[in-house]
This record gives sequence, structure tokens and C-alpha cells, in this order.
Amino acid sequence: MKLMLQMLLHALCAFAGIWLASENTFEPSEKTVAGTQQAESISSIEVRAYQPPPQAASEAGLALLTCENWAEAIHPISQMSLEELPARLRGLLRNPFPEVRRRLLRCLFERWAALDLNGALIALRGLSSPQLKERALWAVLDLWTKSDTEAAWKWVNALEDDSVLQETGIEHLLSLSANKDPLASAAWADQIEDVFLREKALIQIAHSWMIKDANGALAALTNVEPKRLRDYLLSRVCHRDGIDHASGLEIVSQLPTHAERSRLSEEWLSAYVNDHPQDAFQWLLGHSDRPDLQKSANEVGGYLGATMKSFAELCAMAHQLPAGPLRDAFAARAAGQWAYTDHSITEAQDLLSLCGPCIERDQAQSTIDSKRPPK
Amino acid sequence: MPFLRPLLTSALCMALGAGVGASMKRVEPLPTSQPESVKKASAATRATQLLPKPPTFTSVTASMDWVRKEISQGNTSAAERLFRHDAGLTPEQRLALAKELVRDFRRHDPRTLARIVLGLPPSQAVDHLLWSLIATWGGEDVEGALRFIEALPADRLNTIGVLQNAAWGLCRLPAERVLAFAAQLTDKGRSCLAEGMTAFANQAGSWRNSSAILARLNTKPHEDVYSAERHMGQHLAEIDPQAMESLIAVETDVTKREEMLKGYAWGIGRNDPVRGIELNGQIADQEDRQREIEHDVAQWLTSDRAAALTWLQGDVPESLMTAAVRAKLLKSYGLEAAR
Repeated sequence: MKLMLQMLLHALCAFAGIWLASENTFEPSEKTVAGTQQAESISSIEVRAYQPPPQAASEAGLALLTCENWAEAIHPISQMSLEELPARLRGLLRNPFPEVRRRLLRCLFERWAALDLNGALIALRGLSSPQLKERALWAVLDLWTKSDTEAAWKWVNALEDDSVLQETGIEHLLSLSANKDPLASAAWADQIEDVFLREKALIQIAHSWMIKDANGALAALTNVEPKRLRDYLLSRVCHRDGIDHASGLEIVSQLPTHAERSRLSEEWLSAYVNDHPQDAFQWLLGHSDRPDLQKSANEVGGYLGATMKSFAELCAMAHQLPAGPLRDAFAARAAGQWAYTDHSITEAQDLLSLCGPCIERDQAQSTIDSKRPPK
Repeated sequence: MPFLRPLLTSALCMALGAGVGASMKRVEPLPTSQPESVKKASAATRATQLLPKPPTFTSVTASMDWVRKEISQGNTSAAERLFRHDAGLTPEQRLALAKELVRDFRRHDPRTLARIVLGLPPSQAVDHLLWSLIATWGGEDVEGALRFIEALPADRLNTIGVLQNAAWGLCRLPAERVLAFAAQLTDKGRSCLAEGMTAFANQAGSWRNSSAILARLNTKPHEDVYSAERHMGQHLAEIDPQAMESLIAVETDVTKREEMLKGYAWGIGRNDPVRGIELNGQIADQEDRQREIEHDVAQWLTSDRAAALTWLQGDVPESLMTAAVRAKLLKSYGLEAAR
């Protein structure tokens, strides 16, 4: 019995020795992770990968959103309390993707302005990026003008210490009012003393008008004042979808000087031929007695020379135009483009032979020669 | 003493047990016994090794789809992996892909795009891509773009492509910040910046801010750079011709005045070619004057041939156009100058 007790005691001592010496082997796992992190082990990355992602609309989550999942934050932002917004703004500003920042900044400031307009205005002025400040201001103004346009104008006009923000505010307010009454907005803008701000404001009004009702803007063109607004609309409305190019060209044909008619017809026919090549050519053919369409013929010839498949058809078009400046301009540019787009040099030269002596022919000949293989 | 022997033997057993325990501990695999390659690699490199390898290149569209998928899974620098040598892309494929990424600017971290573009072998196409990136980035987030531009080497920084495109965003920053940046530019660089600032005066920023910057940039027209004065002439010809005529009348610096005249004449000549020629006729430098007028007349011939030929065949003073240039232009129409 005594012997057994002694054996048991020795066994216990041996076990105690083993336990004492190998104590760390049984330590909890956190300690192991901490040790490996210090050694910058591969496990640190794995551990991070296994962490659940932060919520989309949390401060950390907003910093991590991508263009594929940013929309997940829209609804949570629209429900946020005022206290949550500053931290969310910080998170969003850390997001590396311009698209995410741009879109969610709008949501965030819409929410902020709805909860606390003055707080939103102070917060946006604290942004260092001029572009983000601009977008935040647009979001606030969109909301503010629904309830108190006059106060919004007053606030923007008082922004004397930040002329860049002030001007973007003025342009935005004008574009909003232009949605209701573009001509009244333009009349107001025309009184702005700073010529560059006046120009930007008129352009903004023109854009709003064209986006809302391009054909309405076209129909009003003959009576539009100030002239700068009319000129801008005349040169841009032709590029809007669904516009009636023939009507626009008719308005352009009434302009007083050859130079204006020439320049703006070129713009309109360039848009027309891009949308409806055959119709544009037929329109040109129907007005081929007008010398102010010389540059337009050049533009149409250039487009058709670069895009048509059939050389015979292209030549036939040139033949249909009466001999003179229009045919020369058309054939020369079409020949140059035919060569430039790697078609047959011989064909390009044949097309150019339909062109009389002129500066356009000289230019087209240079293009064709540049495409000839070196001897 | 009767207890001494069991005490000694118990202690001996404990010591033996400790020896066994220690030896068990040594055979445990430790974190520090990772292969050398992993142990010495930086955390970032090892993170990259964990990320999926890009698929073999089949098309720009397929690669872009892969990049978007990876970004959506949190791999925000996936695009860069396509430009590593082990991705196996040809230089043409790399350039085409970089162009597409820059076109898709808003969906990527601009710093990643910048690293990709700067990593491409230098060429004219890459320069254009860099300028496009700077213009887009500056228009979207000028502060980030400026930090990138400031770090460019001087020979790449002081170029019209970089600085004119940067001006699209810079005109929105406070004057002090832009001037601090301009201090690191060469004379040519400052001229390029001034040109860009003026070019965008009617589109971005505010003229109050831009003119405050321009006033302290203190630039002079540079032979390789389209001048700020010329841009101003073009702008005001359209929006405030009287103001421009006043500016020309009071300008005492001959070079600046001539540049203003060139820009103003161009703007006016678009709607009134004869007046444009008259204005260019006021340029003091004979060579400049005749070059500008030759250009005016060539443009006029393409928009109103009959009127331009009549002018050319009329009594054109030698001071506006030499007989040789006149004869060359008329010869294009199979005509001769009237004697």
C-alpha cells in the first residue's frame, strides 16, 4: 500500500513537471493570434478577411463602399439621425471612389438639410474640396428652394469670401428657376456685371432649358433675348436627341450675316449628318444654291467619306451637287476622309478629280499623298 | 530523514516530467517557423498573393468586367494586377486597358489609375492619357489631383498638357494654394498654367478667383505656349468686345498687346472676316501679322469663297499680305492677282 502511494506521488510529481514546462501549449487562442500579428504573419490578413464587413451606412462601411454596392447606403442615410451624420460624412470622405462620394454626398446632405438646414450649410462650408462643396450645395439648394427660394438666394449672395462657391450657387439657382421660366431667368442673368459669371449663368440656363424641352427651346429661338443665350442655344440645341434639324436649319438661314449662317449651318449639318446621313445630304442638295453652305458641304462630305461603304454611291452624291464651292468642298473632304480611313488611294484620287481648283482640294491632296506607301 | 528519500525522488520525478514537457513544447509548430519567403515578405505582398490571379487577357471588356467584380469583392487595387509582368499583357493591350480604365475614372481609385498610367512606357499616347486623367481627376477632386501633379518630375510637370488640363480644377482652389504650387514651376510652367486658367474662365471657378491667381502668377507670353492674353481676346470678342478693345488700347506691353489682338481678331473674324483682318493688321510684328492674316484668308476661302477671292484680287496692301502669299492663294483657284 505504501509502495503504491509512493508510486502515485511520483507519478503526480512527474505530471506536474510536464504541465509546468508545457504550460503555453494550452493557452487560449487569442494569445497566439496576438503573437503572430506581431510577427506580421499571413494569418493577420486571413483574420481580417474573416471579420464580418461593416454595415454599408456605418462610418467604416461608407469608406469601403464601391460602385457596385453604394446604393445599399441610400435608404439607411435617408433614415439617419442628425447626430449620426458628421461621422458618416467623415467615412464617406475616406471612400476612394469618386462616383460613390459624389452620389452619396448628395444623399447625405439632402438628409442633413431636411433635419437641420443651418447645420448642413455649416458642414458643407467646412468641406475642403471645392467640388464636393459644390455638390453638397446643390443638394441643399434643391431642397431649400422648395420652401424658401428667397432665403437661398440671400445666403448665396452673402458668400463673398468664397467666390467659387458663390458662383456655382448662383448658376445652380438660375438653372432651377430656368426650369420654370427660362426667359425670365435669362433676363435676370443678363444684368450680371461680371462677364464671365454672366456667360456661365446663361449657359446654365440654356442647358436647363435644352434638357427640359429641347424642341421648345428651338421653337422659341427667333424671339430669345439676350443674344448670347440665343447664340448659345443655336450652336448647341442641334445636338440634342429628337430635335428637328430641318426646322433649326431654317431658323439659321434667317440670320443676318453670311458668316453667322455659314458657321451655324455647319454646326447643324454636322449634327444632322451624324443622326440621319441620307436626310442631311438630301437637305444639302435641296439648298445647294446657297453659297453660305460651303463649310456645311465640307462637313457632310467628311462624315460620308469616313463612314460610307460604297464608293460609287459617294461619287454619285458628289456628282449630284452643282459644280462650284459646295461640290468642291464636299468632294475634297470626302476624298480626304476616304483615303484617311484606309480606302483605295486611287478611288480617293478619282473622287478628288470631281473637285475644281481650290484650297480644300490642296488640303485633301496632302492627306491622300500622306497615305501613299513610300517609294 | 525518513521523508528525505521520497522527497528527493518526487523532486526527481517532477524534474523528469518537466524535461518531457519542455521537449513536447519544442515540437509544437510555431508561427516563426513559416517558410522564409512568407516570413520576409511584407504584409502587402502577402495580401497580393492571397488575391486571385487575373484571367488570361481575351479583351479589354473582359478584363474590365474582372476588375469590377474584384472591386465589388473588396479588392480595390485589382486593376493594378493586370499591369504586372506576370499578367502577360502586350504593351498595346496594356495601353488599351489603361485607356478604358481612365475612361471609367469615376469607378476607380484615382491613385490606382495614376500608378497604372505612370507605369506605362513613355509615349505620346501615354502623355495624352495622363492629361486626360489629370483633367478628369482635377474636375472631380482637385485636391487629390494636385497632390499627384505636385509629385510629378519637373520635366513632365512643366508641360502644357499637364498644366492646362490641371487648370480645369485648379481654378476652383483658393489663390494661395495655387500660388504655392506655382512657385515650384518654371517660367514656362507658369505660362502654361496661366493659359489654362484663362481658357476656362467662362466655364469653371470664378473670374474673381482666377484673376487673383493670374495677377500674382506674373507671367509673360512664352513662345511655346498659347498665351493667356490671346485666350482673353477670344473670350471677350464674343462676350464683351468693348471691354477687350479698351484693354488693348491701354496695354503698354507690346507682346501682350499683340497677343490680345490675335485672340480678339480671331473671335471677331468668325462673324466678320474683314474686321478680323483689319484687327490683325494692327499687329506690329510684320511676320506675325502676315501669318495671322494668311490664316484668316485661308479660313475665309473655305466659308465664303466668292467674297474672299474678291478681297484677294482687290487692292491688298503689301503690309497685310505679301504678293507672293497672295499669288499662292490665288493660284489654288487658277487665278492671278490683279495688277
